This record gives sequence, structure tokens and C-alpha cells, in this order.
Amino acid sequence: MSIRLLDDELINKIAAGEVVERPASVVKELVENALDAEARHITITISQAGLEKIEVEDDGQGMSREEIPLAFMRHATSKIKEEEDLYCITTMGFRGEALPSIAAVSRIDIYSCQEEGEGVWAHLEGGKITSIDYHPCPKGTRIIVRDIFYNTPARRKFLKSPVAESSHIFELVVKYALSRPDIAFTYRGDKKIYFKTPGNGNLRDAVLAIYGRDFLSPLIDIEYKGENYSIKGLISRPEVKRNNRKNQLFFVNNRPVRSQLLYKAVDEAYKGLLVTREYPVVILSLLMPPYEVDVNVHPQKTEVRFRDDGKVFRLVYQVLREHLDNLEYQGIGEWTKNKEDLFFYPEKEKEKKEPGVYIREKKLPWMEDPLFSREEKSQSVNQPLAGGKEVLELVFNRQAADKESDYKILGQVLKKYILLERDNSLYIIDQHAAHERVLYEQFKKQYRQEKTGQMLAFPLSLQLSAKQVEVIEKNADLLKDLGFELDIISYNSAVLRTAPSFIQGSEFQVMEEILASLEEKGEADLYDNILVMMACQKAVKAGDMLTWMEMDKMVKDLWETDNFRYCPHGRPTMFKITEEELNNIFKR
Amino acid sequence: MKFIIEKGQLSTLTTLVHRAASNKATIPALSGILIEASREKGLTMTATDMEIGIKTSTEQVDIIEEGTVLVNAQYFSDFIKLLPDSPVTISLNHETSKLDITYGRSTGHINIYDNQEHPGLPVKEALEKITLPQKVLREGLKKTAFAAAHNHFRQVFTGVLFDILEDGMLKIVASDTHRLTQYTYMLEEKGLEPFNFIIPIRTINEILRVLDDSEEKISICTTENHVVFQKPRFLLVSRLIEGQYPSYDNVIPGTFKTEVDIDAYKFTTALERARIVPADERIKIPQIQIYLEGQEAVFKTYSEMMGEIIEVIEGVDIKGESPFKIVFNTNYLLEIARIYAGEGEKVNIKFSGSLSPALITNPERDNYLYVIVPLRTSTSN
Repeated sequence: MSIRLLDDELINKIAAGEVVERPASVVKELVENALDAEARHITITISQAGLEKIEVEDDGQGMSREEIPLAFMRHATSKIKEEEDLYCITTMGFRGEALPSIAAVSRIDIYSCQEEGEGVWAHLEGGKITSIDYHPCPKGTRIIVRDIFYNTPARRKFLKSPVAESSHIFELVVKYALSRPDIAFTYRGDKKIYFKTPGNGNLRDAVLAIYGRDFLSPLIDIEYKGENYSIKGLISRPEVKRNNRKNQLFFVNNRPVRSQLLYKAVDEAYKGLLVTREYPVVILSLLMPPYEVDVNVHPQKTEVRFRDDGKVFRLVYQVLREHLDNLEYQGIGEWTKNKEDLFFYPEKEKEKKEPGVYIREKKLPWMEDPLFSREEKSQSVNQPLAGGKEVLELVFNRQAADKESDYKILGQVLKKYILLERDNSLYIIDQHAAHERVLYEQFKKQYRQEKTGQMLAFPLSLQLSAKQVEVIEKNADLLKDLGFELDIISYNSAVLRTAPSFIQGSEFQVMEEILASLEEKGEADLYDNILVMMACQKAVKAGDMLTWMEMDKMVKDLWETDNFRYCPHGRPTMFKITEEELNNIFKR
Repeated sequence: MKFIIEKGQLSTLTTLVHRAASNKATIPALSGILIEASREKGLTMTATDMEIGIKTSTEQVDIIEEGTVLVNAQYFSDFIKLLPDSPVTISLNHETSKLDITYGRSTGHINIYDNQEHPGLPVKEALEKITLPQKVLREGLKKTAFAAAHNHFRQVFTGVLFDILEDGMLKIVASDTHRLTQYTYMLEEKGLEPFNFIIPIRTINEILRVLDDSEEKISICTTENHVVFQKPRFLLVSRLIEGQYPSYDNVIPGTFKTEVDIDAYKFTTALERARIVPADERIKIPQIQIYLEGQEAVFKTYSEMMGEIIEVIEGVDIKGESPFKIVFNTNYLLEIARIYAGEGEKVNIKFSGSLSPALITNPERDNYLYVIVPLRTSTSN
């Protein structure tokens, strides 16, 4: 086979793979172009998860008839001219790859008009302009991308489900909308409007438009203005926690970025307030001179490199920490300050003295790393991981031994642990974890049969995101099974009419968690999540004194459960020290 | 500063105010009691944690030297409480900067804080004011506050609503969304503009501690974001809960299918027995099924672990549709039954459907009502 140059079409298709991975990438490139064209209003319309149609309309500068063919040529860009510009990038795009790449794998209609210019329309198939003509249209650019990947069936096959793809697009548009609260974003689906930000420059208003009031209310404003750097945004109070980083958004010079460094700085700032695998909500916008940051790391430009990592880290950490610290002492002499939590929850305040303990107990179960629970599950399917041999041993012993007399409780230590002698070994049992396991197994038996919901005198209206409302719509029956009844009021609100009694007062938080877990994992784990949450709430806590009878009952019940070595979160319930180990310690 | 006071008198003041002090150590001034001795005003004590503030004073004190000190509320009040019943001399020792508390031949020396740091109470100009007898307020709060939520993401449900209507009608309302209580009282003030405010439940509990069963008046003023309870030589200031209370009138049912009058005592004791049914290890909501037919009310409680109790109350007066079946949270029913059992012979329950709110009242009085919303169980639909 002889070596030859690839033809342009093939080159474009290959390159397209880099830029255009999925419908969301198309949306990203088009939105960035709209932003670079200095649009004030951007409307994104998606049909069939973007597979059928993606339309982005802006009121930016527009293009002339001469510019349009150029725009669809590789490495044609208006955004940079010489190498120097590369180190000083203020526009979103600059490579000049986006449009040709998109065009290579789809059918495009583009309408564009410059101020005081004439409107132009062009149609492209597979990257080639098939027709171009004058066509009246408003100032700005409207670009309609249809049948994406129609000529690369392999790529099409690798796309995820429409739900997953549209959720990618949603998250992406949210990011851009929040990165530029000064621009009005409208995001529409097949039939409905998902959200519409006002574009008044106020981040709070943008968050409100996208996520609703209930999401916004526990967020606090942060602001820092330095000589070169400035930080602005919203962060959550420490009481609010999420089980993933989805609600941690960073913008560097208005560009949405992902950065391990920034994640780390946030974690550090919340250290002591949240425990591992609990994440705060953070929406941060960093402004810095363009030469301090390199966005040219990756074609998608989601990763950034800072010239001075340490400085950025310290800055973010300090600004967040300062605001969080102020929260605690806020309001001396000022009654008007909004500090309900200090005001109406004195118990919480007291508990804060022992942050570790308090936070642990109050934790919602699905905040735990999902990996953990999976691991636990796989264990029950006969794949013991660590300590597997011991588990089997115990199971055998348990079956063989006489249940009444095979252990002896020695007492409770530190109000946290139960000491136990059994099979020539010393066991230390974590009372909370053990009780959790016991309750979890009990609930598991009961919950599926009993489906009781407390109807509400005041239906609680919940402000949700359009995404969440969609999840509710799809899972109405399942939610009803769990004791929730909701009526959908509009694309971003629903009314809760019935809810399980035991979650009174935290209906919103629980709903949010359930919806998040439905969105991510589907219904399979949901029962489990609820049960784990209930078990955790009802179990005895560290610090509770136990009577002998209570301890005896708990230990007995614990041994009866499957998987008794771990609590439903996956933490161990017990620690075993064998006779030999003790002998070794004492050098016998 | 120096004064002599009877222990009983002193102890009354400290127990009243010390609970308003903060029990966190973060801001020492807020965990203190501000003691002011003045020949003109007598002895005044103030404490606040910025959430709630209490100020009270007495004239039954012998002021020898005027002055002001700030001491830790907890230590001071605990100590005073345990003093023998005798005159106590309290003086500020300027040399040691300690508060000397002398009783008989014994003396305690207590550390003081810088009294300049105490914020005092933020009493601003009152916007609205109502006055009512203490015993009315006490009854109104006792009968409503228990239904408020301890913790709720909608803050308004963690408070008690005071709703003053155009005609001078005061409605005290509390709800945790599972039930609702409403107490009404006709105010004496004429020509009031309608207004309302929501008082945090902690404040309600504090004010209940000082209210007695007398006809003596207490006034309630609101400022922009505070409420002030005031009676002679006593002041309690608290922040209000911000937000709009949902329209509670819609929650109170107006049309009914079935109505029943039950003996209050029998009703309560039946519920008390029912209440013990679910063993505490079970988390399930304690629930009770009420079945009405003919002249009988049947209360059924079931627990997998314990068994079941079927209580039959005979000779009840049932009007409207029957047989009728409904399921409630036992606790919610028991709480209201206990209130009515102490009050009259009968309890009247009106049902608007098996899956709709029920209204529970005392047929002899019309100033109080309780709305309870049923449970939806797998068998009820």
C-alpha cells in the first residue's frame, strides 16, 4: 500500500472527532462563537437530544457574505492573528476549528446579518457549501445544525442514550449561562423552555432562573477584588452538601473550566465543615490577566493551566475560608442580618463544637461515595473483598454455635463502642454502625410492603430545575410507591402533596437527593438509598449511653443480619482482635 | 457597684434572664448577664444571644453603690440558685475585678467580662401593638405551639403565626404541614390595621415560662423584624421569622361527609393504649385506623412485632356517611385528644373524606380548632 495524502474531506472528519464528540460539543462551540460575537441574547433550541436539531441564535456581530465561506475553512478565525495573541487569549475560541469540524459531520443552515449589512443564508452538507444567497434576517447569527453524525455512523453508534446526551447539553448550557450572567440565555427543548436567564449581570438572578429559589436561598455571596485577580460568586453554607461535584462550577475569565487545583482549594476551605465525599455548592468566577492562564491545553479548552498554581490556590482558599469563618460570627450587634440558622437552630450551633461527630450523623446516606455501596453489594453476591475469609469464618461459626451463649458483652467504652468476647477473640463494635445495619435490614423487610405517606395540610411548593421536574414526571409512580405525591405546576416547580412522615421538615432536601440519584443511577438503588437514610437517622449515635439489654439486643440482632461486618454505608461495624494477636502484643 | 438583695428575689431575676444568654463560648459577652444597679430604677438584668433577649428588673433591692457588671450567665445563675435563703450582698471588687457574692460569712468571687461589649437589646420604635390578658396568651400559645415544626426547610413552619384581622380578631396559628392549630381571640383594641408576624418556636417557649394564669395584661409590639413582649418590669425581644405564611384558611375544611361526637376521656385513653403499640425499634409512623359504623367507633392499631389492639367505643353519635374509614398518625391525634380531655366531655370530629383533612373541635367552645391530615396507606386507595 502506498503512502498518500488524505483528502480534505477525510481530514475534516478525523479532526471533527477531536472537536465534535457528541451533540453537546456542537452546542459548546456554537455558544462560544455567539459569546465571541458579543451577543447580548443567546437562544439555544435542542430537538431530540440534539441529534435531530441544534439551533443557536444570537444577536451578535454577524458575518458578511464573504466571511461565511471562510468561517467554514479550517484554521480560519477572526479571533487571533499572530502567535503573540495565543498567550493573551480573551475570546472563547481561537483555533478556527469549530465550524469546519461541525460542518464536516452534519447539515447546516446558517443565517447571518451584520449591522447595516444584508442578511445571508447558506446551506452546507458534509462541510461543503451547497448554496449561499442573500436572505433577510435580523442582526446576528442563527445557525441550525441538523442530522449530526449522519455521515459518520460509527460515531453515532457510540452516543449514549438521548437522556444522557440531553443531560450533557443541559449541564453545558447551564455552565455558560452562569459564566455570563450579563447575557440573557434561553434554553429550549422540544416543546418547553428549560430556563431563561435575565441577563442583568446578577449571578443570583441567573441561578434563580435555572435552579429555582430553594436552591439559591442557602447560598452566600462571596467577593474579592485584588490588583490582578478578582473572585466573585456564590458558595453554600456548610449545612448544604452534595454527593458529587456537579454543583461546583468554576469560570476563569468567564470561561467554564474544570480544574483539580480549584476543587482542591474548595475542599481545603470547607475542611472541618464537611467530611470526605461531601461537596459544597460552589459557583466561582475568577478574573485574572489573560497571560496568567493558559487555556490552550486541550482542544475543548475545559482544562486550564495557571502560571502560578500556588497563588490561585491560596487565593481561592483564603477568600472562601474568610467568608465561611465570617458566617460563624456574623451578626454581632446586627439583628437584621440574615442568620436564621444561628437564630432558630440553637442545637445545631451547639453541635458544631464537635464538627466531626455532628456532620457525620446528620449526613444523608447517598452523600456517600456510590462506589462504596456498590462494593458492599458485590460482597453480598459472594465476592468477599477484604476480610472475606473472616466473614465466611464467622458465618460458619455462627451457624455452628449456640446462639444464646456464644458471646459475652463486656461493656461500652467511650459511649461509642461495645466490647464483646466471642470465639476466643475480642470484638470492638461501633454502636452506630451496628445499629444502622440492624435497622437497615429491618426496614428492608418492612418498607416494600408498607407504603404510607403523610398527606400535607399545606402542599409544599418546590422550586426545582426543569431537569428535576422532568425526572419527577418520568418517575411519578415510583415516587408514589415511596410515599411521595407531587403535582407538576410548571416547567420549574412542583407541589408536594404527600410525603413520608419521618422526613418532615426536610422534604426538599430529601426530594433533591432522590431526584439526583434517580437522574444518575435510575431507580434500582433508590429504595436502598431511602432505607440507608432512614437507618442512619434512627440509629443510636456515638455518645448515647446503652444499657446491657440494649447492647445485648443490638449484638444479637446484628449477628442475625446478612453482611453484619459492614454498615449500610460500607463502614465496618466491628473490629476483631484474636487471642494470638493479643498474645503477640503481650509477648506471651 | 454594691447591693443587698434577698436570695429569692435575686434568683427569680437570674432564672428569668439566664436562658436568653448564649451557651456558646465564641462571644463571651453574649454568654453573660448584664447586671445594672441604679438607685432610681432598682436592679436590672439583661441577657441576649442576639436571637432572643430578656430584660427584667426589681425594686426590692437595697442599692448601696450604683454600677454595671457583666458576668457569665451560666455560672452566676447556677450559683445563685443554690444559695441559702438569706440576704445576699453583691459587690464589685475594683481591686481584683471580681464580683464578690457574700452570703452569711461565706463569699464567692466570680470573674467578670467587659460590660462595654454587651450589645444590649435592640428595641426600636414599635410599629404595631396589641395587648391581651396573660392567661389568654398562655392558653393560645399552649394550644397552638405544639403543632409547629421543629425543623423545616420552609422557615415559617418553625414559628407561630399571629394574624391580626381587620375587625380586631387575633388568630394564633401553627402548623408543621401535617396538622394545623388555630386559636382565636377578639382583641380590645379598636381600629387596628391588619398585620401579621411569625414568632420562632424558641421564643414561644421562653415567653410561656413567664406567663401566668392571671388577667394581668401583656403587650406585644412588633418592629420591622422583631417582636417585643412587654409587661411591667419585664421585656422579651426576639427576632421574627421572615417570610409569608401560606394561606391557612384554605387548609381548614368547610364541607363534611361524616361527623362524630366522641367521649373525650374514652377517646384519649383509647389513643394512649394505641400509642404504645409500635415498639420503639420500629420507625414506622405510629398509625391508627378509625372505622365508624352504626353507633360505634372502632380504633385499630397494628404492629408486626407486638400484635394489635382493637378499641371499640360504643354509643357515639355518627352523622352523615357511614361506614367510614380513615388512618391518622396516632401521635397527632393523641396530642389534641389530651387537650380536649382536660376541657370538656365531648370531642367533635368532622371528616371531609378518607383522604382529606378532618376538623377536630370541642363542641362547647368555638375559639379553637385542630386540622389533621390523614395518612395515605396502601390500603386506603
